[in-house]
Amino acid sequence: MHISEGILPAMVLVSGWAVTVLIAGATLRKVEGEDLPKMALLTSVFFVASLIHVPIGPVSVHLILNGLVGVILGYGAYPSILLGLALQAILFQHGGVAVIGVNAVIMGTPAVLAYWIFGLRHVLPVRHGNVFFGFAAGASATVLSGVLLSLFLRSAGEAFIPVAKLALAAHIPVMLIEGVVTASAVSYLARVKPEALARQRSPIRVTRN
Amino acid sequence: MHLAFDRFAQGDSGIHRMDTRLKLVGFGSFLVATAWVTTWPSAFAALAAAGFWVGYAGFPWAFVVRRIRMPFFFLSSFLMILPFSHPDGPGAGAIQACVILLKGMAMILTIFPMFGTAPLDISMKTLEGLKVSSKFVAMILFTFRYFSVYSDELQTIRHVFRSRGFKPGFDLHSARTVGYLVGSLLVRSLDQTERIYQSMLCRGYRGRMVTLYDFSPIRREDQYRFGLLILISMGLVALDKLI
Repeated sequence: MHISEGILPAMVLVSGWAVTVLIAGATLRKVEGEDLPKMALLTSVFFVASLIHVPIGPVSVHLILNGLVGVILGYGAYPSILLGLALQAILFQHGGVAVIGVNAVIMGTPAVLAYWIFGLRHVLPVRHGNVFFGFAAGASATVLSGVLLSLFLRSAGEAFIPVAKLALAAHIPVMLIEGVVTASAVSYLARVKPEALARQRSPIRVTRN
Repeated sequence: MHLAFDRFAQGDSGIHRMDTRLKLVGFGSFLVATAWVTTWPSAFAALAAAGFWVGYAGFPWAFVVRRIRMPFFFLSSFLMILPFSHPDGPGAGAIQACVILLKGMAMILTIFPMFGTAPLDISMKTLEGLKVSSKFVAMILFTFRYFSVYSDELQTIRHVFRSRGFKPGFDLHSARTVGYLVGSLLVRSLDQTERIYQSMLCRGYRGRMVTLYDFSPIRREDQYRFGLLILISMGLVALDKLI
């Protein structure tokens, strides 16, 4: 789901960092004292949850959950995902340090999109709105991540066109899983702890006291 | 998943003793230089330098190999793809795949001397010293601290699922069940965050993380080591342009 070190040209890495610093800086500025530790704790939950593997035929993929991160954390999802990627690179040597910027764009912008999509449930009255928009948020975050990933791979040169196509195709089954997982996690939260989703109107704020 | 990446932080090599600010900036510029490389001789030189630092800092090779195995297999797969997909024929594709493999492994190996030779909290404090947002640094430390708590929690929930005979597959039922699993993990942790935050307030949390570590002044030998790292980085780019 993320690009490894060594593949992308330096200019692409630099632009990835530039975009990420801008977005993360702007969103972090809105995070106030109390929300900071809460966001960090939720980040570690998402980090742990992304270790869950789901089998697809012969292979197994791990959950991405960037759509769910967006639904719960709003704009705060971007720094949260950036943080997850940084820890993954430093502690597990997954991905890499120089590609953190690009990977944050790939995973983080779809999370913000998911947040907007899930917010539509206030505007469009649909039966089982949580399930419907939860699925839409999770699935579209995965699709956008796949598209961004392929575009970045394409930027590494013409030789990467088949790799980019393959990466995009691989996201189709993942999209279904992510959609259903996000939808059921959201509907579960709506029943068990609705205040976790109440934050939807005021971005960043994790829970209301 | 082994979290203790910084368990060889107590060594006594030149890299361990180096001032952490200069260390992060120095290895950071090496990473940037390596990312810029496009020819195989300088990619190879970068890998040699990174491998030397890993050995010099005294990381056991078994530890290193276990951690770089996955990226190695992943990057090696391009050796089988790019020769067939490169527009300039198999030769050019093979060379590009080699450059990617050498560069990628060099950059991943650099993480070991860069972040593995000081305890994580000190590395993070250093980032703060280098003008990385202190909110972000505080978040990294929190997340790191609670990662192990929630992975234990996940283990517990997994045991519950397994004892009820749940076996995941690629179907609606499995995906929904996993969704409920994630949901219950979130519910448990949301309650916990409230309590953790209140106990932090009791202990005087004011929105900043505090460590007892203070930077010592930069010594002459730190400057030499830093200068050497910058020279090596510039050398890599120069070698790349000359060939």
